[in-house]
Amino acid sequence: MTTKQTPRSGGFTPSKKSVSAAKRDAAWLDSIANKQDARALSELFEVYGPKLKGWLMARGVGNGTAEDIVQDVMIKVWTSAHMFDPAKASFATWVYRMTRNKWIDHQRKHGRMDVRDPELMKVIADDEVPSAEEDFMTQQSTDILREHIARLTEAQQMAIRMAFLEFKTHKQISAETGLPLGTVKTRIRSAINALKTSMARHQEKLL
Amino acid sequence: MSSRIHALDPDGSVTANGRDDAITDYAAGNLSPAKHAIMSCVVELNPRAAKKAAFETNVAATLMSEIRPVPLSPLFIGETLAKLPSREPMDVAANDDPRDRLAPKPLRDLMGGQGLRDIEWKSLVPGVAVHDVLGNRRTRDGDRLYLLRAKGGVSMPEHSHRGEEWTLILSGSYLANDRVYARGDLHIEDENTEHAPQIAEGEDCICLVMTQGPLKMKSWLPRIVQQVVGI
Repeated sequence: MTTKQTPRSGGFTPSKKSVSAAKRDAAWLDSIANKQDARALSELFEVYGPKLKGWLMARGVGNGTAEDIVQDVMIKVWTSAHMFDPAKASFATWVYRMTRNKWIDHQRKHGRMDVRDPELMKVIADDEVPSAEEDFMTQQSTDILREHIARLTEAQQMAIRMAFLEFKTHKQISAETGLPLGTVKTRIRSAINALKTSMARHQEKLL
Repeated sequence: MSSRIHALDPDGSVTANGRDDAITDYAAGNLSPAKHAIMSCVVELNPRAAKKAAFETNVAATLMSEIRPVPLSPLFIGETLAKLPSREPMDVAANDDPRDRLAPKPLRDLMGGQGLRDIEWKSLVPGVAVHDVLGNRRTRDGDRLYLLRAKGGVSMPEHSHRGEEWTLILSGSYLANDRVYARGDLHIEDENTEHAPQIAEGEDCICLVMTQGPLKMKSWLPRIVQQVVGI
């Protein structure tokens, strides 16, 4: 893990690659929304499907269930593409949030000791569309965020990796590392705050 | 024992005493379904919480690229395309009656689209009633999610719990350990604390509550009734 990097004087410039990825995603979404273009949807999921499936399987979801969830997400992208606003969010964040919420839905529906009335199950929460949380980060900023994550201290990186990549709650991290719960909270908080400060500074530079 | 109270701070930290960890766990998808449902509602009602959640969701989505992708099975795309519904304009009005807005959308979705009108309440003690949201049964993780309605002016039965108790206030307000909680506030009580919220005079106080394991009621009457209503 690289923790210490040579400090650079200027801000980060988003790579051409990510700018074009954002444009490409937005064009696909537009095509789906306005032309019912199934090919655009296929191309989008050739790119994002394996990432989403990888995320689910890293959480311990089985192959079949992971594909079922990605399929639900793909259908959801098809039906709500018109709600995607590239000015507000990157597609990566938008589709991540959908997948996360579908995964929680899946646990809710299958985590019961006994099965509920199927009629009620049918109408339950099938239309989670991210709306309340507005992003203020675009795809380009995602690149910069990644850079800033790499510049966190080793302790901070370890803590946020355990939360976001090993999917552990603060309590689980504390139990596993032997660190007091308060220390875990402080590390994650300080990491998030450091990222926020860096991103705010970066955005000021753009103005 | 002094009770530790967590609430939304005016400066926007979701909970006092460092409970912003709830937002991180929410963004990462690490909360149980009941807690995740509560946080989704908090995010809808509280713009500051929403902003924090949005930032941390960006962090989560960014870190997703560090996880090894797993190829989809060869037939995946084709099979999914075959299942695509024809797109019809969404009936927004159907799920957005202004009278239902007391309940945040994630809660209405959980309740089959309905708001809080015409739901069936079960009486717990005089002036206090509950309605199960996740179907009056424990989930595998032991969480229960229910609505609680208390008449203005009543005192809640004093109780403690084995696990955490998360309360999101939807209407009215109450006082607990010298702190007022109102719409949009998330109140988290740790295990082993005792508390007896005092509902403010006037409006009914309606809350969305998550508890882990049965509540431990101090007096005998609620103890008996809770077995019937199942909280």
